[in-house]
Amino acid sequence: MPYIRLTAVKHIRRAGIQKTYHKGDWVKVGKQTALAWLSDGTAEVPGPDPTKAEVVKELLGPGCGVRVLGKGTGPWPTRGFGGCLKLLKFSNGSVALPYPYTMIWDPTSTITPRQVLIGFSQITGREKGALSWEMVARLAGHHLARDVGTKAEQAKTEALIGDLRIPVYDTRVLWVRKTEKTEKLIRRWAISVRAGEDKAHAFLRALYTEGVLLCTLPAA
Amino acid sequence: MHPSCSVGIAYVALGKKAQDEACESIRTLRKNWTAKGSVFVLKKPLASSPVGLTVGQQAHWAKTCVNLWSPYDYTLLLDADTRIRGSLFVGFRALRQGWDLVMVPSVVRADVLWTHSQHEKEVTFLDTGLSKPLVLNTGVLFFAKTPRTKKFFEQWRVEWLRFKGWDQGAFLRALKRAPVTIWLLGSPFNSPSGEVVDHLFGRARA
Repeated sequence: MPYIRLTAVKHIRRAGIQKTYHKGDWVKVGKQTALAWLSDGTAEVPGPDPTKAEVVKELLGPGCGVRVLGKGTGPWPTRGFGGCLKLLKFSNGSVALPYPYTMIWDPTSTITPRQVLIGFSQITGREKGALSWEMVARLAGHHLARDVGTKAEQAKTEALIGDLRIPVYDTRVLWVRKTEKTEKLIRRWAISVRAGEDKAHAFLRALYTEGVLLCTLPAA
Repeated sequence: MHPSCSVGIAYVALGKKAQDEACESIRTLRKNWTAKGSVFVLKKPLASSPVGLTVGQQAHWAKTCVNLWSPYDYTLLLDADTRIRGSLFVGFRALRQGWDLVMVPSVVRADVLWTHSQHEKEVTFLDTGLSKPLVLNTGVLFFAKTPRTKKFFEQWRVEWLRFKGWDQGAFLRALKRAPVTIWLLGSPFNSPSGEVVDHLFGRARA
C-alpha cells in the first residue's frame, strides 16, 4: 500500500508506542486500515481523485478514449473505469490509436478508476505545471526478456538489442499520446502482432527502435 | 550516434575510501570487460558545490553535474562501490540507438524512496502525481549529451538543491519537468551479486 496523507488527526501505535499524527501528515499503515481511512475520508492519496467529478472532467478532456483489444463488441468489464466511464470514447479491434490520447486495453486485465486517471494524467499533462509523457506502461513483474517467449523470439530480440536481461512490459494496458513517434511504434507493434509474433517481445523491439518518452510504472 | 563520438566511464570518488573502491571497480572493469574504454575519476569536489555540504552531499551534487564534467559524448556513470562482472556494451548500444538515458530500476519496495525524508517523499509524490513511482537507481547511469539531457540535468540539480539529500527523489521530480527517453536494463546490471554489475551498496561511503 502506498503512503497516504491524513485529513484528520490519527493516533497510530507502532512497536508498542502510540504517536499522534496530524492533518497533512504522510503515514504508511496496513492495507485494510488505509482502505478504511480512504473510504471514510480521513485520508487521501496523491494523484488524481477519481471520486471527484471535476477532477475527472479536467483530466479526461476531449480526445481521451479507450481502444479495447479483441473482436467482441461487448459488453466489456468496464466497472473498473468507475466515474471515468462516461467521459471516455470506446472502440474495439486490433492495436491502434484512434484518439489523441488512447488507453489501449486488453479487457482480461483488471483496472481501477485511479489507474485510468493516473495513466491519462501522465500523457495529457493537464495537471498544472506538468509536461506530458508520450506513453505510460507498467512492467510485467520481475520478468526479463530471457524469461518469456520462444527461443526464436528471444533470438530476434537479442539480435536487435544485444541482451535479453531487460525488463518486460505489461502490454495489456498502455496509455499513448498520439505523436509521430508513438504512431510509428504502435504501427510497428501492430504489424508484428498481426504476423503472430510474441506481443511482449514485439513491443520491446518496437519500443527500442522508436525511442519514445515513456513513463514506466511498477508492475500492477 | 556518429562513429566518432567519444565513449567512456566516469566515477565520482571523493575521499580515500571512495577512491579505493573506485580503483577496485576499475580493476574489475579491465579484467571482465575487455573493450577498450576510457575512464575518468572525479576525485575532488566541484568548484560549483554549494557551500557547507558534507562529503556525501558533494558526491550527490557531483553526480547531478556529471553532464558538465564528463569529457565523453556517451558516458556511463558508475558508483565507486560497483564491481564489473561482464560486458556493458548493451548500454552504449542503446545510446547509439538514440536513447537519452539507460538505467536499472531499483528493487521494488513497499516503502518507496525509503531513504528520503518524509517531507521529500510527500513533495515527490505530489510533484509526480504518483504515490508509487518506479524508482531508478543512479548507481549505473548511461547518458548521451543531447539538448534534452542537458535540460534534464539542469532540472535534476534544481530539484536536488531543494533537499540536498539522496538523489533519486530529485531525479523523479526532474523527469516530470524535463522528460527524457530512458531505456531500462534488468537487475543483472545493477544489484547485489548482479551478473554484470555487482553493486556493493554503501561500501564507498566515508
